[in-house]
Amino acid sequence: MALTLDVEPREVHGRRVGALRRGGQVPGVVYGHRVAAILVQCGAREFERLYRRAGRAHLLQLRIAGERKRRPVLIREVQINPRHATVVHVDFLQVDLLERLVVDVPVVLVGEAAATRLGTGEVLHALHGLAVSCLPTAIPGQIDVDVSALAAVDDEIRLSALTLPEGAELASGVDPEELVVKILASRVAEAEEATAAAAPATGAAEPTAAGPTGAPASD
Amino acid sequence: MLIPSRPRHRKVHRGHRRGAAYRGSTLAFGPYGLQALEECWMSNRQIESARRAMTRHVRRGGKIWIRLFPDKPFTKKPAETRMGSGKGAPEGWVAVVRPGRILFEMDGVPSAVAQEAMRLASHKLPIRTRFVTRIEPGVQAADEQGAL
Repeated sequence: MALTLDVEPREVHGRRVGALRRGGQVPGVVYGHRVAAILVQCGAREFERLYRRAGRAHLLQLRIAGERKRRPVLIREVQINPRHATVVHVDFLQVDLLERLVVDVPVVLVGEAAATRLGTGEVLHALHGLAVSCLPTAIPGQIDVDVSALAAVDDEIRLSALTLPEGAELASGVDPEELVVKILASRVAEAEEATAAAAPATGAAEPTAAGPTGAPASD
Repeated sequence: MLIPSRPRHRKVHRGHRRGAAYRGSTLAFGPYGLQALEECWMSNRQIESARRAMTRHVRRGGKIWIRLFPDKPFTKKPAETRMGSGKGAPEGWVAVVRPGRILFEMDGVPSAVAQEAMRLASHKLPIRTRFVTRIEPGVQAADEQGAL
């Protein structure tokens, strides 16, 4: 069943859209290839409900008040207020159903890794979204990656090992050797090894912590 | 404790901390995080204290990311000193935090454990915070697929 969102054309723009937001509306814009941009607004609650369900990789039908024909669109960008976690603005991309496009599809891990079950390692989910090229009617809603076979530390799955759904292929510029998921040694195992190694030494090393580069911290 | 390895300047201006954190305001590594709701200068001691509280609660397993770095030196004048005579001596290091900033992220533990660990960590910090989880819009559980 296609998801439909009702929107109205918007005449308010610039700083005055603040009043729209206070009135429970979300300002947005519809644009596309060979399509004139049009400013729109829609109910914040309706949009958030639909966005949770559809994400950015599902085709929507946009019903603009005053227009007889529905427009096939994708949610391209959603601006979120970092302080209040509310939607500030939304971009809809109107698509041509016969023209290929690049969509960011979420990557979802399925199953429990054997390493986690045995307690030998932890799963590092390195890639959360993947750019795929496909027709708008063949967009995979999500890409499932089965991790149940990963049993040993350093076992990994790279993009080249994934099978994309029919009609979809990796977008140009995406490295097929990019890491999707990897098993890392669990923190307790690391700590035990470090303790064993440091035992002959006189003083224990100060615990190191990660910087903003994102390296994991150890205790 | 977190300290810059090669500071470029011993003393810097105080600067401003108005506005919200647009950068670093979304979860980038793990499914759970602690988000700042107020602005502050967060010292490296506070960051370390919060990190310890989290790791002690989690005990085994789990992975923690620290999403901020105290790269700003602050100075202090000695007690009972008259005003003037130049800027004080460097005293410590702080990170400038604005509302919305993700401070810590966690993975590899159940949600309840992560939430409790973050709650304990938040008590070591000088500002109000909230526990956030990664919600991937459009992602469905296996039994829901095909509903769209």
